[in-house]
Amino acid sequence: MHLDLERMQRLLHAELSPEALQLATEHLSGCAECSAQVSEARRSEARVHALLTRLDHKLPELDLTAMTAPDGARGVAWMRWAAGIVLTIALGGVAYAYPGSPVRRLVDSLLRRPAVEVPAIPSAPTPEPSAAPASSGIAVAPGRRLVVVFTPVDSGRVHVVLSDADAVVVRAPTGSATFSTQAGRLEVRSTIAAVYELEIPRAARRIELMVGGRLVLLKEGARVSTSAAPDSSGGWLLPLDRR
Amino acid sequence: MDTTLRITRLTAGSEAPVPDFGARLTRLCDSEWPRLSRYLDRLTGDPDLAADLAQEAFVRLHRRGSMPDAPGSWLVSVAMNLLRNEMSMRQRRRKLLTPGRAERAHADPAPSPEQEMVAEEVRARVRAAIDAIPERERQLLLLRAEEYSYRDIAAVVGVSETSVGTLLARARVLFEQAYGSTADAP
Repeated sequence: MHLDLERMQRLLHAELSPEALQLATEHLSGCAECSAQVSEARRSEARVHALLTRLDHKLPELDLTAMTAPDGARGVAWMRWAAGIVLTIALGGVAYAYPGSPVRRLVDSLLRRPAVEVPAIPSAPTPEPSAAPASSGIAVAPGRRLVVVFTPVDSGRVHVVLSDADAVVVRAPTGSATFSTQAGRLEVRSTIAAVYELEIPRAARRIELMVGGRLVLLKEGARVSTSAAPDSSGGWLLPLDRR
Repeated sequence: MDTTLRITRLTAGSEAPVPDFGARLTRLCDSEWPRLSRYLDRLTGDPDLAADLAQEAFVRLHRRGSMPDAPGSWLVSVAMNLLRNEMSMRQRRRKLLTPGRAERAHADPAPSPEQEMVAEEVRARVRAAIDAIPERERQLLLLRAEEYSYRDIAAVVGVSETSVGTLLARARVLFEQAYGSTADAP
Protein backbone atom coordinates (compact mmCIF):
# COMPACT_ATOMS: atom_id res chain seq x y z
CA MET A 1 0.00 0.00 0.00
CA HIS A 2 1.35 3.42 -0.99
CA LEU A 3 2.05 6.22 1.50
CA ASP A 4 -0.86 8.60 1.80
CA LEU A 5 -0.44 12.36 1.64
CA GLU A 6 -0.46 12.84 5.42
CA ARG A 7 2.29 10.28 5.97
CA MET A 8 4.40 11.74 3.17
CA GLN A 9 4.20 15.17 4.75
CA ARG A 10 4.96 13.79 8.18
CA LEU A 11 7.96 11.97 6.75
CA LEU A 12 9.13 15.23 5.22
CA HIS A 13 8.75 17.10 8.48
CA ALA A 14 10.05 14.42 10.87
CA GLU A 15 6.63 14.08 12.46
CA LEU A 16 6.33 10.28 12.21
CA SER A 17 6.70 8.03 15.23
CA PRO A 18 9.80 5.78 15.13
CA GLU A 19 7.67 2.78 14.15
CA ALA A 20 5.80 4.66 11.42
CA LEU A 21 9.08 6.09 10.17
CA GLN A 22 10.60 2.63 9.85
CA LEU A 23 7.58 1.35 7.91
CA ALA A 24 7.61 4.37 5.60
CA THR A 25 11.34 4.06 4.95
CA GLU A 26 10.99 0.38 4.11
CA HIS A 27 8.15 1.17 1.74
CA LEU A 28 10.07 3.94 0.01
CA SER A 29 13.07 1.69 -0.59
CA GLY A 30 10.90 -0.47 -2.82
CA CYS A 31 8.43 2.03 -4.28
CA ALA A 32 9.73 4.36 -6.97
CA GLU A 33 6.35 6.11 -7.27
CA CYS A 34 6.19 7.16 -3.61
CA SER A 35 9.89 8.05 -3.59
CA ALA A 36 9.33 10.36 -6.54
CA GLN A 37 6.36 11.99 -4.82
CA VAL A 38 8.30 12.56 -1.61
CA SER A 39 11.19 14.05 -3.59
CA GLU A 40 8.82 16.36 -5.46
CA ALA A 41 7.17 17.40 -2.17
CA ARG A 42 10.60 18.20 -0.76
CA ARG A 43 11.52 20.28 -3.84
CA SER A 44 8.17 22.06 -3.75
CA GLU A 45 8.63 22.95 -0.12
CA ALA A 46 12.15 24.24 -0.76
CA ARG A 47 10.81 26.44 -3.60
CA VAL A 48 7.99 27.81 -1.45
CA HIS A 49 10.22 28.51 1.52
CA ALA A 50 12.77 30.25 -0.70
CA LEU A 51 10.02 32.47 -2.08
CA LEU A 52 8.73 33.27 1.39
CA THR A 53 12.13 34.64 2.39
CA ARG A 54 11.51 37.40 -0.17
CA LEU A 55 8.95 38.83 2.25
CA ASP A 56 11.45 39.18 5.07
CA HIS A 57 12.61 42.46 6.50
CA LYS A 58 15.52 42.93 8.85
CA LEU A 59 14.70 41.17 12.10
CA PRO A 60 14.11 43.60 14.94
CA GLU A 61 15.92 43.15 18.22
CA LEU A 62 13.83 42.29 21.22
CA ASP A 63 13.65 45.35 23.45
CA LEU A 64 13.46 43.56 26.77
CA THR A 65 13.25 46.75 28.77
CA ALA A 66 9.77 47.15 27.30
CA MET A 67 8.66 44.11 29.28
CA THR A 68 8.55 46.13 32.44
CA ALA A 69 7.83 49.43 30.78
CA PRO A 70 4.03 49.23 30.35
CA ASP A 71 3.20 49.33 34.08
CA GLY A 72 5.58 52.19 34.70
CA ALA A 73 4.50 53.92 31.53
CA ARG A 74 0.90 53.72 32.61
CA GLY A 75 1.77 55.40 35.90
CA VAL A 76 3.73 58.10 34.16
CA ALA A 77 0.96 58.50 31.60
CA TRP A 78 -1.63 58.88 34.34
CA MET A 79 0.48 61.49 36.12
CA ARG A 80 1.03 63.36 32.87
CA TRP A 81 -2.66 63.22 32.12
CA ALA A 82 -3.53 64.53 35.56
CA ALA A 83 -0.83 67.18 35.37
CA GLY A 84 -2.12 68.26 31.96
CA ILE A 85 -5.68 68.62 33.22
CA VAL A 86 -4.62 70.51 36.34
CA LEU A 87 -2.35 72.77 34.32
CA THR A 88 -5.06 73.46 31.76
CA ILE A 89 -7.63 74.28 34.44
CA ALA A 90 -5.18 76.46 36.36
CA LEU A 91 -4.06 78.40 33.31
CA GLY A 92 -7.66 78.65 32.15
CA GLY A 93 -8.58 80.15 35.53
CA VAL A 94 -5.73 82.64 35.37
CA ALA A 95 -6.71 83.60 31.84
CA TYR A 96 -10.33 84.04 32.94
CA ALA A 97 -9.35 86.22 35.89
CA TYR A 98 -7.05 88.44 33.85
CA PRO A 99 -8.68 91.86 33.23
CA GLY A 100 -9.94 92.20 29.66
CA SER A 101 -9.27 88.54 28.98
CA PRO A 102 -10.86 87.12 25.78
CA VAL A 103 -11.40 83.88 27.74
CA ARG A 104 -13.63 85.72 30.19
CA ARG A 105 -15.62 87.17 27.26
CA LEU A 106 -15.87 83.76 25.67
CA VAL A 107 -17.01 82.04 28.85
CA ASP A 108 -19.46 84.80 29.66
CA SER A 109 -20.94 84.73 26.19
CA LEU A 110 -21.28 80.97 26.35
CA LEU A 111 -23.03 81.19 29.69
CA ARG A 112 -25.39 83.83 28.37
CA ARG A 113 -26.15 81.97 25.13
CA PRO A 114 -25.68 78.27 25.77
CA ALA A 115 -27.66 77.10 22.77
CA VAL A 116 -26.09 79.20 20.08
CA GLU A 117 -22.95 78.52 18.17
CA VAL A 118 -19.54 79.14 19.68
CA PRO A 119 -18.32 82.67 18.93
CA ALA A 120 -15.63 82.62 16.32
CA ILE A 121 -12.18 83.19 17.73
CA PRO A 122 -9.98 84.68 15.05
CA SER A 123 -7.03 82.40 14.50
CA ALA A 124 -3.58 83.74 13.94
CA PRO A 125 -2.79 84.26 10.26
CA THR A 126 0.61 82.68 10.63
CA PRO A 127 1.81 80.31 13.30
CA GLU A 128 3.77 82.23 15.88
CA PRO A 129 3.58 79.96 18.87
CA SER A 130 6.30 81.72 20.80
CA ALA A 131 4.31 84.94 20.53
CA ALA A 132 1.28 83.42 22.23
CA PRO A 133 0.57 85.18 25.50
CA ALA A 134 -0.05 81.97 27.46
CA SER A 135 -0.15 78.37 26.53
CA SER A 136 -0.58 74.97 28.08
CA GLY A 137 1.00 71.82 26.87
CA ILE A 138 2.20 68.31 27.40
CA ALA A 139 5.41 66.39 26.75
CA VAL A 140 5.38 62.68 26.04
CA ALA A 141 8.22 60.26 25.37
CA PRO A 142 7.69 58.93 21.84
CA GLY A 143 8.75 55.32 22.50
CA ARG A 144 8.82 53.00 19.50
CA ARG A 145 5.62 54.46 18.13
CA LEU A 146 3.32 57.27 19.17
CA VAL A 147 -0.05 58.19 17.70
CA VAL A 148 -1.03 61.82 18.28
CA VAL A 149 -4.76 62.33 17.83
CA PHE A 150 -6.35 65.77 17.45
CA THR A 151 -10.08 66.43 17.67
CA PRO A 152 -11.15 68.16 14.47
CA VAL A 153 -11.90 71.87 14.83
CA ASP A 154 -13.03 73.98 11.89
CA SER A 155 -10.46 76.65 11.08
CA GLY A 156 -8.08 75.15 13.62
CA ARG A 157 -4.56 74.27 12.54
CA VAL A 158 -1.58 72.42 13.88
CA HIS A 159 1.95 73.52 13.14
CA VAL A 160 4.32 70.57 13.13
CA VAL A 161 8.04 71.05 13.55
CA LEU A 162 10.95 68.71 14.12
CA SER A 163 13.03 69.28 17.21
CA ASP A 164 16.19 67.97 18.83
CA ALA A 165 14.37 67.32 22.10
CA ASP A 166 13.65 63.84 23.46
CA ALA A 167 9.91 64.28 23.88
CA VAL A 168 6.93 64.94 21.67
CA VAL A 169 5.55 68.29 22.82
CA VAL A 170 2.09 69.73 22.15
CA ARG A 171 1.40 73.34 23.00
CA ALA A 172 -2.01 74.92 22.85
CA PRO A 173 -3.33 78.38 23.66
CA THR A 174 -4.52 78.37 27.25
CA GLY A 175 -7.94 76.85 27.70
CA SER A 176 -8.17 75.64 24.11
CA ALA A 177 -7.44 71.96 24.69
CA THR A 178 -7.20 69.13 27.13
CA PHE A 179 -4.78 66.26 26.89
CA SER A 180 -4.90 62.60 27.71
CA THR A 181 -2.39 59.84 27.18
CA GLN A 182 -2.31 56.07 27.03
CA ALA A 183 0.62 53.86 26.14
CA GLY A 184 1.57 54.80 22.58
CA ARG A 185 -1.20 57.38 22.22
CA LEU A 186 -1.63 61.07 22.98
CA GLU A 187 -5.05 62.68 22.52
CA VAL A 188 -5.51 66.40 22.18
CA ARG A 189 -9.12 67.50 22.56
CA SER A 190 -9.05 70.84 20.86
CA THR A 191 -12.14 72.91 21.56
CA ILE A 192 -11.65 76.18 19.73
CA ALA A 193 -10.10 77.29 16.48
CA ALA A 194 -6.47 78.05 17.17
CA VAL A 195 -2.99 77.20 16.02
CA TYR A 196 -1.56 74.32 17.99
CA GLU A 197 2.11 73.50 18.06
CA LEU A 198 3.41 69.95 17.74
CA GLU A 199 7.12 69.30 18.18
CA ILE A 200 8.38 65.91 17.06
CA PRO A 201 11.88 64.78 18.02
CA ARG A 202 14.04 64.07 14.99
CA ALA A 203 15.16 60.88 16.71
CA ALA A 204 11.59 59.56 17.12
CA ARG A 205 11.11 56.30 15.26
CA ARG A 206 7.47 56.51 14.29
CA ILE A 207 4.96 59.27 14.94
CA GLU A 208 1.49 59.28 13.42
CA LEU A 209 -0.62 62.43 13.49
CA MET A 210 -4.34 61.73 13.16
CA VAL A 211 -7.13 64.27 12.79
CA GLY A 212 -10.67 62.93 12.95
CA GLY A 213 -9.61 59.42 12.01
CA ARG A 214 -7.42 60.60 9.12
CA LEU A 215 -3.67 60.12 9.07
CA VAL A 216 -2.39 63.56 8.08
CA LEU A 217 1.30 63.15 8.82
CA LEU A 218 3.60 60.22 9.31
CA LYS A 219 7.18 60.45 10.55
CA GLU A 220 9.01 57.20 10.13
CA GLY A 221 12.71 57.24 10.79
CA ALA A 222 14.11 60.27 9.06
CA ARG A 223 11.25 60.53 6.60
CA VAL A 224 8.19 62.71 7.04
CA SER A 225 5.20 62.00 4.83
CA THR A 226 2.34 64.42 4.53
CA SER A 227 0.28 65.93 1.76
CA ALA A 228 1.17 69.51 2.85
CA ALA A 229 4.27 71.27 1.60
CA PRO A 230 6.81 72.46 4.18
CA ASP A 231 6.49 76.12 5.14
CA SER A 232 9.28 78.67 5.39
CA SER A 233 10.21 77.47 8.90
CA GLY A 234 10.72 73.92 7.65
CA GLY A 235 7.59 72.77 9.47
CA TRP A 236 4.16 71.85 8.19
CA LEU A 237 0.92 73.74 8.83
CA LEU A 238 -1.95 71.28 8.71
CA PRO A 239 -5.69 72.00 8.98
CA LEU A 240 -7.73 70.52 11.80
CA ASP A 241 -10.99 70.89 9.86
CA ARG A 242 -13.70 68.26 9.93
CA ARG A 243 -13.93 66.56 6.55
CA MET B 1 22.59 41.44 22.52
CA ASP B 2 23.18 40.05 25.97
CA THR B 3 19.63 38.94 26.63
CA THR B 4 20.58 36.79 29.62
CA LEU B 5 22.01 39.66 31.57
CA ARG B 6 19.18 42.02 30.73
CA ILE B 7 16.38 39.60 31.54
CA THR B 8 18.00 38.65 34.82
CA ARG B 9 18.12 42.29 35.72
CA LEU B 10 14.51 42.80 34.72
CA THR B 11 13.07 39.84 36.53
CA ALA B 12 15.13 40.48 39.64
CA GLY B 13 13.04 43.55 40.41
CA SER B 14 9.69 42.05 39.46
CA GLU B 15 7.25 40.46 41.84
CA ALA B 16 5.45 37.70 40.03
CA PRO B 17 7.99 35.43 38.28
CA VAL B 18 9.15 32.29 40.04
CA PRO B 19 12.93 31.85 40.47
CA ASP B 20 13.68 29.94 37.26
CA PHE B 21 11.16 31.80 35.16
CA GLY B 22 13.71 34.42 34.11
CA ALA B 23 16.14 31.80 32.85
CA ARG B 24 13.41 29.99 30.95
CA LEU B 25 12.20 33.24 29.48
CA THR B 26 15.73 34.04 28.33
CA ARG B 27 16.01 30.73 26.53
CA LEU B 28 12.58 31.21 25.05
CA CYS B 29 13.50 34.66 23.75
CA ASP B 30 16.50 33.21 21.98
CA SER B 31 14.52 30.42 20.35
CA GLU B 32 11.12 32.02 19.76
CA TRP B 33 11.73 35.70 19.11
CA PRO B 34 13.24 35.31 15.61
CA ARG B 35 10.64 32.91 14.28
CA LEU B 36 7.69 34.67 15.88
CA SER B 37 8.84 38.02 14.46
CA ARG B 38 9.48 36.55 11.03
CA TYR B 39 6.14 34.73 10.98
CA LEU B 40 4.25 37.93 11.85
CA ASP B 41 6.31 39.97 9.40
CA ARG B 42 5.48 37.59 6.57
CA LEU B 43 1.86 37.36 7.60
CA THR B 44 1.21 41.09 7.89
CA GLY B 45 3.75 42.56 5.48
CA ASP B 46 4.29 45.28 8.08
CA PRO B 47 7.61 44.90 9.94
CA ASP B 48 6.80 47.57 12.54
CA LEU B 49 3.45 46.04 13.35
CA ALA B 50 5.03 42.58 13.46
CA ALA B 51 7.71 43.75 15.90
CA ASP B 52 5.11 45.42 18.12
CA LEU B 53 2.91 42.33 18.17
CA ALA B 54 5.79 39.97 18.89
CA GLN B 55 7.10 42.18 21.66
CA GLU B 56 3.65 42.55 23.22
CA ALA B 57 3.27 38.75 23.19
CA PHE B 58 6.51 38.44 25.16
CA VAL B 59 5.42 41.22 27.51
CA ARG B 60 2.23 39.27 28.25
CA LEU B 61 4.22 36.13 28.88
CA HIS B 62 6.45 38.04 31.28
CA ARG B 63 3.40 39.42 33.09
CA ARG B 64 1.95 35.92 33.29
CA GLY B 65 4.94 34.93 35.37
CA SER B 66 4.81 31.23 34.52
CA MET B 67 5.45 29.16 31.44
CA PRO B 68 2.49 27.76 29.51
CA ASP B 69 2.63 24.10 28.45
CA ALA B 70 3.45 24.96 24.86
CA PRO B 71 5.13 28.40 24.97
CA GLY B 72 5.73 28.57 21.21
CA SER B 73 2.10 28.17 20.23
CA TRP B 74 1.00 30.26 23.22
CA LEU B 75 3.05 33.20 21.95
CA VAL B 76 1.71 32.82 18.41
CA SER B 77 -1.88 32.60 19.68
CA VAL B 78 -1.49 35.74 21.79
CA ALA B 79 0.12 37.60 18.89
CA MET B 80 -2.69 36.49 16.55
CA ASN B 81 -5.33 37.77 18.97
CA LEU B 82 -3.50 41.09 19.17
CA LEU B 83 -3.32 41.19 15.39
CA ARG B 84 -7.08 40.59 15.09
CA ASN B 85 -7.75 43.44 17.50
CA GLU B 86 -5.43 45.70 15.56
CA MET B 87 -7.05 44.80 12.25
CA SER B 88 -10.56 45.49 13.53
CA MET B 89 -9.37 48.86 14.88
CA ARG B 90 -7.87 49.69 11.51
CA GLN B 91 -11.08 48.74 9.74
CA ARG B 92 -12.92 51.21 11.92
CA ARG B 93 -10.68 54.04 10.80
CA ARG B 94 -10.54 53.39 7.10
CA LYS B 95 -9.90 56.90 5.91
CA LEU B 96 -6.17 56.65 6.26
CA LEU B 97 -3.86 58.55 4.02
CA THR B 98 -2.73 56.00 1.50
CA PRO B 99 0.93 55.13 1.99
CA GLY B 100 1.56 55.47 -1.73
CA ARG B 101 0.39 59.06 -1.70
CA ALA B 102 2.41 59.90 1.37
CA GLU B 103 5.56 58.23 0.14
CA ARG B 104 5.38 59.89 -3.21
CA ALA B 105 5.40 63.27 -1.50
CA HIS B 106 8.80 62.81 0.11
CA ALA B 107 10.32 59.72 -1.44
CA ASP B 108 13.94 59.71 -2.46
CA PRO B 109 13.90 60.77 -6.12
CA ALA B 110 17.01 58.74 -6.99
CA PRO B 111 16.14 55.86 -9.34
CA SER B 112 16.44 52.33 -7.92
CA PRO B 113 19.01 49.96 -9.39
CA GLU B 114 17.65 47.37 -11.79
CA GLN B 115 18.35 44.47 -9.44
CA GLU B 116 16.39 46.19 -6.72
CA MET B 117 13.48 46.59 -9.07
CA VAL B 118 13.51 42.92 -10.00
CA ALA B 119 13.74 41.91 -6.34
CA GLU B 120 10.86 44.22 -5.52
CA GLU B 121 8.82 42.72 -8.34
CA VAL B 122 9.36 39.20 -7.01
CA ARG B 123 8.57 40.38 -3.53
CA ALA B 124 5.32 41.94 -4.73
CA ARG B 125 4.38 38.71 -6.53
CA VAL B 126 5.06 36.63 -3.41
CA ARG B 127 3.05 39.09 -1.33
CA ALA B 128 0.17 38.91 -3.79
CA ALA B 129 0.29 35.10 -3.81
CA ILE B 130 0.38 34.73 -0.04
CA ASP B 131 -2.47 37.22 0.30
CA ALA B 132 -4.47 35.36 -2.34
CA ILE B 133 -4.69 32.03 -0.52
CA PRO B 134 -7.20 31.48 2.29
CA GLU B 135 -6.18 32.67 5.77
CA ARG B 136 -5.99 29.18 7.23
CA GLU B 137 -3.66 27.95 4.47
CA ARG B 138 -1.56 31.12 4.77
CA GLN B 139 -1.04 30.53 8.49
CA LEU B 140 -0.26 26.85 7.96
CA LEU B 141 2.35 27.62 5.35
CA LEU B 142 4.02 30.42 7.31
CA LEU B 143 4.05 28.52 10.60
CA ARG B 144 5.58 25.47 8.97
CA ALA B 145 8.18 27.67 7.27
CA GLU B 146 9.28 28.60 10.80
CA GLU B 147 9.37 24.90 11.72
CA TYR B 148 6.58 24.98 14.25
CA SER B 149 5.55 21.44 15.14
CA TYR B 150 2.32 19.92 13.87
CA ARG B 151 0.98 20.10 17.41
CA ASP B 152 1.72 23.83 17.66
CA ILE B 153 0.30 24.48 14.21
CA ALA B 154 -2.90 22.58 15.05
CA ALA B 155 -3.29 24.55 18.28
CA VAL B 156 -2.79 27.95 16.63
CA VAL B 157 -4.84 27.37 13.49
CA GLY B 158 -7.54 25.31 15.16
CA VAL B 159 -7.38 22.15 13.06
CA SER B 160 -6.95 18.50 13.96
CA GLU B 161 -3.30 17.57 14.45
CA THR B 162 -3.83 14.43 12.38
CA SER B 163 -4.70 16.47 9.29
CA VAL B 164 -1.95 19.09 9.44
CA GLY B 165 0.27 17.32 6.90
CA THR B 166 -2.51 17.00 4.32
CA LEU B 167 -3.59 20.62 4.82
CA LEU B 168 0.02 21.77 4.48
CA ALA B 169 0.43 19.94 1.18
CA ARG B 170 -2.74 21.60 -0.14
CA ALA B 171 -1.63 25.00 1.11
CA ARG B 172 1.66 24.63 -0.75
CA VAL B 173 -0.15 23.75 -3.97
CA LEU B 174 -2.48 26.72 -3.59
CA PHE B 175 0.44 29.06 -2.98
CA GLU B 176 2.42 27.82 -5.99
CA GLN B 177 -0.66 28.15 -8.19
CA ALA B 178 -1.27 31.67 -6.90
CA TYR B 179 2.37 32.60 -7.43
CA GLY B 180 2.28 31.19 -10.96
CA SER B 181 -0.84 33.16 -11.76
CA THR B 182 0.80 36.43 -10.71
CA ALA B 183 3.23 36.00 -13.59
CA ASP B 184 0.27 36.02 -16.01
CA ALA B 185 -1.27 39.09 -14.48
CA PRO B 186 -0.91 42.29 -16.52
